[in-house]
Amino acid sequence: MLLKLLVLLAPAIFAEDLTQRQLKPVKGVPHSRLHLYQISTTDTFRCLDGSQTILFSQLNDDYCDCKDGSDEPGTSACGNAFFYCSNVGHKGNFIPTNRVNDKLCDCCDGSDEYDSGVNCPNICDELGRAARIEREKVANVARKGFQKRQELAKEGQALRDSKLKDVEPLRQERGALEPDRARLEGEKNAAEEVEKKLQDEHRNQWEAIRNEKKKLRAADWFDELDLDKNGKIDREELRQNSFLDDDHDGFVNEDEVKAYLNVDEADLEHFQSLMYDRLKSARHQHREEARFKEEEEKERAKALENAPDDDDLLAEEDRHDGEESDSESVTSPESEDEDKMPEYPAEVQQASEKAREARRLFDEVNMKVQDLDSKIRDAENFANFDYGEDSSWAALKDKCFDRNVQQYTYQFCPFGQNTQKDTGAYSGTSLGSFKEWSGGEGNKKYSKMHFGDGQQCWNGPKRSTDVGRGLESQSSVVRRANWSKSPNPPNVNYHFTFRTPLACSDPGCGDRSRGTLIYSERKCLFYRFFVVIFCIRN
Amino acid sequence: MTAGSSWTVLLLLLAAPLAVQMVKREEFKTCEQSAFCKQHRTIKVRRGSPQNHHNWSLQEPTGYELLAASIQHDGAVWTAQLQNSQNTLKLSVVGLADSTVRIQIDEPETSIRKRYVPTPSFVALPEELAFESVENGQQEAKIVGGNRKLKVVITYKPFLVSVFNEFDELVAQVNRDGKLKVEEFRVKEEGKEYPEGFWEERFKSFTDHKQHGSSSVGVDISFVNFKTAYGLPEHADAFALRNTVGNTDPYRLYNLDVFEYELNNPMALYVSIPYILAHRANRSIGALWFNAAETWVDTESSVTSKGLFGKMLDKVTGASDNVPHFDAHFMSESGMVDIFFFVGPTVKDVQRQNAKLTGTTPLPPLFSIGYHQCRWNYNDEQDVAAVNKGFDDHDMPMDVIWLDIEHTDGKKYFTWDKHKFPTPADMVSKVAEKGRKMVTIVDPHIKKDDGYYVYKDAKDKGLFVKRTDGSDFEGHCWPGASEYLDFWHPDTRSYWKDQFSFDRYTGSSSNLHIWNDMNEPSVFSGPEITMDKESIHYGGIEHREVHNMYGMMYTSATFDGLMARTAGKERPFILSRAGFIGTQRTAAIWTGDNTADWGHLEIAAPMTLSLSIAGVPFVGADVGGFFGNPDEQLLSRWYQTGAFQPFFRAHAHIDTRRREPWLFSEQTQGIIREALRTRYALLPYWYTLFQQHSQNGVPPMRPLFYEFESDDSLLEEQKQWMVGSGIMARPVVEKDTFNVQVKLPRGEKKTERWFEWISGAEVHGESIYVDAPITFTPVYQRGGIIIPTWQRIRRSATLMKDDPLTLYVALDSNGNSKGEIYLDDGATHDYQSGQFVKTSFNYKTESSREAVLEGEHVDGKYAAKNWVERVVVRGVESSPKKVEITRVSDPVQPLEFSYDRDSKVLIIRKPEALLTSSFKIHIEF
Repeated sequence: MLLKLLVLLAPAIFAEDLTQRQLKPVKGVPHSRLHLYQISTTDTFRCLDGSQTILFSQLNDDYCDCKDGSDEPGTSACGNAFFYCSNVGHKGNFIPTNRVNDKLCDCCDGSDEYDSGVNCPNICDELGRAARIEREKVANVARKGFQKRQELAKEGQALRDSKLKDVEPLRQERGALEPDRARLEGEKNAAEEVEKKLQDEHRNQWEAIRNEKKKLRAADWFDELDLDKNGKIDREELRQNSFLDDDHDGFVNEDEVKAYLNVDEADLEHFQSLMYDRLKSARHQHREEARFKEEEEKERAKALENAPDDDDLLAEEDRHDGEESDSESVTSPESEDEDKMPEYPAEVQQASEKAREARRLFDEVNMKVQDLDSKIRDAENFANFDYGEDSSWAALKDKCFDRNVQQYTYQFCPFGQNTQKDTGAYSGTSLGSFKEWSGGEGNKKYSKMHFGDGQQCWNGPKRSTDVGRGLESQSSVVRRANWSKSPNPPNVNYHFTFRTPLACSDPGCGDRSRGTLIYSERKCLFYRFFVVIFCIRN
Repeated sequence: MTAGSSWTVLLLLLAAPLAVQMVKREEFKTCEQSAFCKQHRTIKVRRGSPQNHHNWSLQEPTGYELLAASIQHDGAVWTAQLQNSQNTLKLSVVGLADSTVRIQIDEPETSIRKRYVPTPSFVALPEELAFESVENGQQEAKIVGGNRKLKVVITYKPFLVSVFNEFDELVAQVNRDGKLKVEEFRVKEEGKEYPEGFWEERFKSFTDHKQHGSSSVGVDISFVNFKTAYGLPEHADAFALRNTVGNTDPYRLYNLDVFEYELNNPMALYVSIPYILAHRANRSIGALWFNAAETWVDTESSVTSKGLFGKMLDKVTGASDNVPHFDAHFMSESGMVDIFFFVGPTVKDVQRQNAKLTGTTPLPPLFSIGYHQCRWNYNDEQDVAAVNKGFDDHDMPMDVIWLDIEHTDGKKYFTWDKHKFPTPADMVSKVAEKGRKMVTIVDPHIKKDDGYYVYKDAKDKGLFVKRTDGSDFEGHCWPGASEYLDFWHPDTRSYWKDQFSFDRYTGSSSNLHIWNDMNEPSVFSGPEITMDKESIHYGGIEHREVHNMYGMMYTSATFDGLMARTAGKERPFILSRAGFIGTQRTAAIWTGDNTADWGHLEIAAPMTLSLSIAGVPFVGADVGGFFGNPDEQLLSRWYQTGAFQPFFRAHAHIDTRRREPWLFSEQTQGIIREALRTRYALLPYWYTLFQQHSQNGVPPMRPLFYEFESDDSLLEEQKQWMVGSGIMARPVVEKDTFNVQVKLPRGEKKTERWFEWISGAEVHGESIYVDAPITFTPVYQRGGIIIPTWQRIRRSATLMKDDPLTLYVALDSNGNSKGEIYLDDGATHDYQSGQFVKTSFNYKTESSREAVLEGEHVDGKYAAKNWVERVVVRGVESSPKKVEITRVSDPVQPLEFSYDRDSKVLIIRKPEALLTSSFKIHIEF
């Protein structure tokens, strides 16, 4: 009575206070919402969507009156309502009302099966205890994981520091070597210059002599070819040389001649500068061919004669070998004018020796410097690489992890290349190389890794791997639902879990403020990494 | 790295590119390539007809005549000899109960071998009924069936059988076209010449040796005064049978495992039911060709002048000069000419008559008419758990999770892959915790592996099908080299039965049911991917004689096993791909390996209708399509369609993308959820329909003409169908189609009323265009029928079985409506001893001021807890003044109600009437 009166007098102002004290419980409604379900002066209940007003007695009377199901939070009458289990001792939660009185115990306090003939024991204490233990365990793992992560971070830092530290002595060493290197380089360059000058002189002298000889030989041949001795060679004269018969049709035609003589006639100078070398090589080739043919024929003839006897055939082959070496000597006159430059005189050789020594001394020091440079570069690269906010991932640099699935071995290399390999096969299929931290801005950056440029999918893109941080309890199918919402749903082929303490962040941090589903749990436990490899199939 | 580092595989989906190609036609015979089909097909018809234009060389009619002197008659059996220039045959006409007559033509007693009759297809031996009268005349014999329900007139020369219904209307004729041909069994005589393919026949690299020579049979059956006929499942073709003569090969009935089957052609598929139903306004007749050998049927609908039928046609009602007739030329490789005519006269009579002979589907367990979730394959126990949970997380009801072949250890059935399924019993019981079941696959090919106990046992006991040389037949299937159990052997049957006992089949329990696949049988290495016809079964039966019933013999043995494991207490559920006459008694059938395209969605209805009318009612197609990846629109429409077909299972090939409903967009998830909820709401109705089917044979899924028998405009309809007599569904099966035409049959008196199922609003017109956005399925309630529903959709059907009911009462033009509900424990055979409840509902508009809804508990002693929580009356003209209920011995009690003037829907709130006691609701206007 008092309640009613008060509500009448000051419904808005005092309602809140009153609900805290004297609310009548309503089945399936949590305490925080009970004020919505209190009896009114008119003995009516207004559906929470405002669509309808029903008698108060029709609340939870196992008949669905409200479209939004709000009149039946405690029965299964409405398909779209929720029943609250208070689960004292554990954690309260909502279940769809279609689970009320369906003979399955959904609430740990058994409150959902109050009229189905099934006796659901209250196991909330037990569950609560188990949950606390589990939470404890989880927290423990998180703590330990985070500890481990901190160790790894330290290790990573140390690794980085030590790399950086190592750089200094290297630099010093390099600095100490530099004057030596510069001096030796100068000495080397000077010695090489002397060597080159002497060698050039010698070579030039020899070449002048050789050219003179060649000119004489060319003149001799010119005379030979100049059949009418008019000091000029014309095409008709050239035509008499059977070696110009390129197409082997038995005579030398106009075109074949033209290839060598593209003017009407050639005087000696033209011959020497433009024709001699080419004609000479044509003649040489012609002779070679002729000789080869002749030998072949000889061989065939002999083979025919001696065919029945294998031993003879062998002997024949032996003989043949001998002939070949003979024929080589036949060609030797051809190379008459390609004779070698005579050895350098002693003074030149001495200069070369000096230059060689200077080079050796320089190279020795220079190698040392280059080696130091490379070491410095490596260390700097390592130290400057992004191993996460706390450098903890540095511990995984250059490490790989294998997993066998049937006949395949999958290898995950956090900063390298992921592969899929047939067991026993020498090489595998690249599933992408580390490209970047792809989690986005700020803290989230390190929640994802992207591996790209893997082997091309058949008729599709290049394979790639994405590693994302998730909760252990998140089922794979839920993850896939997200993928398939893209307009061109990729086909997710593989789903791996990679456990590492690097997935543990600080259990003490205020993650709740981040507001997402994952972060709303206070565990701060991101213990698993999903490796998703996919080819989009059209 | 720390010691705790490790990789755990959660999911592994193989990613092989899908082969996009159609059926390999060359793998399968054409009529031309089948020696007997080719021969029979060329027999010339007796009359001059347009058929003579065909380009094959025709043989003369076979010219049989009946020897009057040979006639004998005793009670229900009338026999005589037939003779032509080739041989002598024995004709028997047997009168059977319920307007049924059997016409059998066999070799005479002197035959060297008995011809096979598939008696296991009978539910019981046919019940003979002595003829009312027999009159053996000079030219013909007149045989009147018992109770004067039919008449058979046998003309002696040329031999002709004419069948008349109870109104003395000629409805069928046998051998009018003179195509009767029976090749008797022979012993090969040296030096004698035989036709091509008589002793052996080659196809591709296979040679079939015919031990007893070509022993084919064939005859023409004509359905007189019928234009349209149905049946001969299973073909991926239109519901109404087409004209094959002059157009295509005949319909082929030869159970085959056809990879990526094509649509709209008469090629054989997994099931063979040689049964034709002919229908015209108010008249039906069925003919069952009782033969288990390979069968081809040439069909043709034509119109011929009355003269063809001679004096037989005197009584044809309204006979004009031109008489339509539907002709079917049956040709079988072996067996007998053995025809059962079910003379009706109505279509439901025909269905009952067939059911009396071949049986019905026993009441299925409730879970099995819910929704089934299948995939080749759910990979491991974690996968199963995740799928199980996924349905709960997304508030979608589901009853069964299926495991395909990969769950086994190397395709050895009854075993488990011990890495992926280390604790099968736990897995099954965890799924069962939500009232759900599991199904595992068990195929008839047995891996040839001495380490496999089933193989070892069967080998030792000699239970495999044999080759002609007596060695065991061997072929390739999933496990590689395999042997095939011979289910004609009684020892095989009893051995097989034992394999399902809980102690023998590790991991099994009464929550685990069975899927029998590949039972055509599929033999990858065999001719046409099946067993060599010359193979030998128990008792010297050649495989060719029984091929089409192998699948049925298999599922019936499995059924015995599932019965035995609970000593007959619980109802088995079995799904089979292959089937034959009688399959319905032990298994549900699905349409095999379909494809995720619109054509396959559309063909699902004609295929399941065809099976339904042929006596196999528990049928469905893989939702989503087995091969390929359906897009969201196709998948959405497929769920909407599957929800209104009897067997409702999603399934997918191993190479396809995962397609559990929650992997799609919110909208698609919503559509699937709604389709599932619609199905589950209607479960009491479906269950009642299945119970009625078990009694009268009428299938739950029906063509429109079953309910509107006089309407000839519905004969070809195959996009719309009835669920029972009260629901009509026209799901959208066309791509990008959001407006469809719906026929609303108005009945003979143009008085039928229709109401939109969801909104309850009445729809007018005979053919209307309906907006069907992707979220909507055109479904209608027929005036005059009361539909019982469950509106509290829970996680599985089992959890809903005690729930209160909402009755949808749609009024007919007189303001009346009727309905019935049948419920029981949903799982056991206790209903057979009265543990069920059957309650009828009858709404009557007594006057403009008063209507009464009466509920009458008519049968059963099951203490059902279900009560009526809501009555929705559709088509009420005005708002009542008062609604009251009288329950047995209780005082009259007022009920609250609401009335919607726009939709004319009256909702009566909470009558709280139990099904187990009668009640009356008075409505005062």
